[in-house]
Amino acid sequence: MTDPDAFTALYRQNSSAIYRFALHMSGSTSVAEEVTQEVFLMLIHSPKSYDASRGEIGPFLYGVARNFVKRHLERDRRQQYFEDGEEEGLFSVAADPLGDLTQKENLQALKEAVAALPPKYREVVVMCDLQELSYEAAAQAIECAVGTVRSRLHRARTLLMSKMQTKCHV
Amino acid sequence: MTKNEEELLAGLRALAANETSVPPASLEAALLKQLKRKRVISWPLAAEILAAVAIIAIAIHSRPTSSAHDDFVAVPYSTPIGPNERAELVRVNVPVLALAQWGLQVSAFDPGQRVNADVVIGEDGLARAVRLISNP
Repeated sequence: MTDPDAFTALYRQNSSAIYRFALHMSGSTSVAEEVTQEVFLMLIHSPKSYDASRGEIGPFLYGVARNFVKRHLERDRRQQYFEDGEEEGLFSVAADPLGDLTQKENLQALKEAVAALPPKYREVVVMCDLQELSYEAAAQAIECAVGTVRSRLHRARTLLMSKMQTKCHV
Repeated sequence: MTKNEEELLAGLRALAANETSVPPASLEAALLKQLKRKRVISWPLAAEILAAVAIIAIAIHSRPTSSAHDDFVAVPYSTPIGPNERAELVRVNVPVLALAQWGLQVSAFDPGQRVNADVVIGEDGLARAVRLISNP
C-alpha cells in the first residue's frame, strides 16, 4: 500500500476497532497502541498479505491483531493463549438474576470479568458481543469454523454469568 | 434466551457503548510518515540493481573466500522482479545464518551474531536480493 489517502481512509475506518480489541484482550493501553501500530505497519510493508478473494479486510485486520496480541501475551508470560484447563477457579451458575449490569459500578465488574476470561473465550466475546462482528467475520479472524465461534461464545457467556453471579453474592 | 443471558447481553452492550478509547492521534501521523518514507524503487532501477547483482554474484562465487559483501546478491531460487513490479529496499538486522541461507558466503562467523543488511523486497513481500552492510 503506497497511496497515503487510501491508507488514511483505511486507518480511520478500522484503527479504533483494532485498538479496542487489543485493549480488551490485553488490558493495557500501551499494548493496544503497539498492536495497532504493528497491524498497520504490516499493511504498509506487506500489502500482498491481504487477499481480497478470501474475505473483507476488517476480519483480516482482526486476525492480524489477534496474532500480535497473542505474541504480546505470551511474551509477558501472563497467560498461555490456547492452553487447556483454564477454567479453574470458576463457579457454577446460580439461579438468581444478575441484577442491572448496565449500572456504572456493575459495568466495571463486568469489564473485569471479561478481562479474566481465558483468551479463547474472551476474544469471541470482544469480537461478537462488544464489537458486533458477525459470527462469520469472527470465524474468519480466528480462522476457525462458525460453529466453533458459536460454541465458544455460548461457553464464554456461561462463564461470565457465573463470574457475575459470584460477584453479586460476595 | 434466559433472563440472565438477556441481562448479560444488555450489560455487554452497555460496556461496548461505554468504551470510547481511540488510538492516539500521533499514531496515524507516525504511520503516514512511515508510509511516505518507504522507499519505492521503480522497475528500471530495480533492473539495474538486479543486473548488478548478477554480475557481482558471479564475481563473488569466483573468489575463494570472502568475509563480507558490499553489493547485492540475488536470493537463491527467487523469482525475478517483473517489468511492472515495484520493489522496496528495507534495512534489516538479521542473523548471519540467514545470510548464509540467502547465498552470502560469510566465513569465520559466530552463527548467533546479527548483522545489518539491505534487502530488496518484491511486491509479494518476498526477498529478492540482499546486501551486507556490516561485517560479522
